[in-house]
Amino acid sequence: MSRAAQGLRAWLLQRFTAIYLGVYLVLVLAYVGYRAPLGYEQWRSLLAQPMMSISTALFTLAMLLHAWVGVRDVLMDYVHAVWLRLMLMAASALMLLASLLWVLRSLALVAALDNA
Amino acid sequence: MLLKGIAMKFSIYRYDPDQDAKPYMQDYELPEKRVEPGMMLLDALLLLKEQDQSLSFRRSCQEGVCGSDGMNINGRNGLACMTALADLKQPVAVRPLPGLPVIRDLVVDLSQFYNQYRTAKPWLINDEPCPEVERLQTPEQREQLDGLYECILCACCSTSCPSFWWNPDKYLGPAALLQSWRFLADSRDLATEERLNDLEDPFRLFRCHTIMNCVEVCPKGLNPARAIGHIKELMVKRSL
Amino acid sequence: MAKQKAAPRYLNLFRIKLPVGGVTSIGHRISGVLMFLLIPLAVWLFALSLESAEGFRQVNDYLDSPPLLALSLLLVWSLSHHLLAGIRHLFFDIDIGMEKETARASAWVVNIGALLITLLYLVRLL
Repeated sequence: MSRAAQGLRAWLLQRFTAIYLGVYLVLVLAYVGYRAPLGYEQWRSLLAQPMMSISTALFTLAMLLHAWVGVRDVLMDYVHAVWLRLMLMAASALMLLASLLWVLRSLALVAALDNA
Repeated sequence: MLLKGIAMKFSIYRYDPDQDAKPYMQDYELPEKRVEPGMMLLDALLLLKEQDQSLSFRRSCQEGVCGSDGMNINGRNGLACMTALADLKQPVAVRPLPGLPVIRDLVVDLSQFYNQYRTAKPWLINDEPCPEVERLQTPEQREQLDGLYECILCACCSTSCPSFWWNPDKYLGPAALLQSWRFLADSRDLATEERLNDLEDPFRLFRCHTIMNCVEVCPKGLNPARAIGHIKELMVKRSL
Repeated sequence: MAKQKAAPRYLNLFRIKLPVGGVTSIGHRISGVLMFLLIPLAVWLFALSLESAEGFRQVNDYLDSPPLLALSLLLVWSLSHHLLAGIRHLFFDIDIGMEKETARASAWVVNIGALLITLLYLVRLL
């Protein structure tokens, strides 16, 4: 993989995802805090709404990318044995991807069953 | 704290590769009659060396311009000649600059530091034919170099930077990066593209996580973190 | 000739003073790693809470249980510190607040702010 601009790309990605994550979190926490306590039906219908569903899916994607850059930074700083670093990065990527897919699955199920 | 009429206590890092298996701390005392108001740590160290000739440390100008006597004083990097005894809690713990190989006592091997400095190409790159007089700058252009040219390469910043501790061979460190910006910001330098290309990889510049220890310890009051921020800004601008 | 041995490096992290900004910074890293490690748990709870009314009830019970109380406090601190420190970082990126004194002040605000938010969360829970 070419090293050119890898550092800059990762840094920019981390910043942009950070902004999205921050804005989403503040808005959603404020909303949920205001409407608390939420019952099961309210919780489901909230996440069935297209806006909420898509923005949450985007949130999870942003979180995956943001966490990836973060973990990569930590591993690059502390783990100098290349093979070990590679393995840890692969394991992290797997965990993050699986988490994203799991969330997408949940959101899709809620949306589908809501339309049934 | 300088208490009149009381001897001053020091605890100094000692290591002689020919004699010691590992480093140790040695206690010293400066008798009250030798302690004077306005004394700097370097003055004290020179007096202690009279007591113990084997104590080794670098020093030269005694006035904060040569950068020779950088060391870790009560846990914080600084220049011994610019650190007043009156400001120091006792026993004064004096240790070498962190993270670099110790040659002996307070003398460290600065090779990695200088290597990274060299990597930043700290010279003017301008292949245009030389003008009859100097390459001229407006006062505003010259101002861009303020806060950058004053670096005395004492290494207090880089050796206070955790990122430099973990990767002194791949991360350039605050001092070298500050000098890189010094030339990027110089209107007479024409190698902007090459300089930025050289820094875009994940290690050379981007190990900087804006921890800002460098700003805390610079004895000349410079701001390497901000200079690094400017380099990042320039990188983003040219990529858009 | 003495055997060549590697020169020691002085790196006693317990003795090297960490300025307030350094505390903010290491807290930012620790909170990030903590949240990363909690992602699978969080995702599982999220999925369970949406699956059925029973699942939703279970998640609420888990969150109220003592071991998860400690974990949720840790999560609240992590989120608060990481978010506040992150905002401080973003201001740095646009060259705001990078002078020594201002950076120190904002570091204190972040460190104390995150603890305060965690305390508020704890108080509202009890």
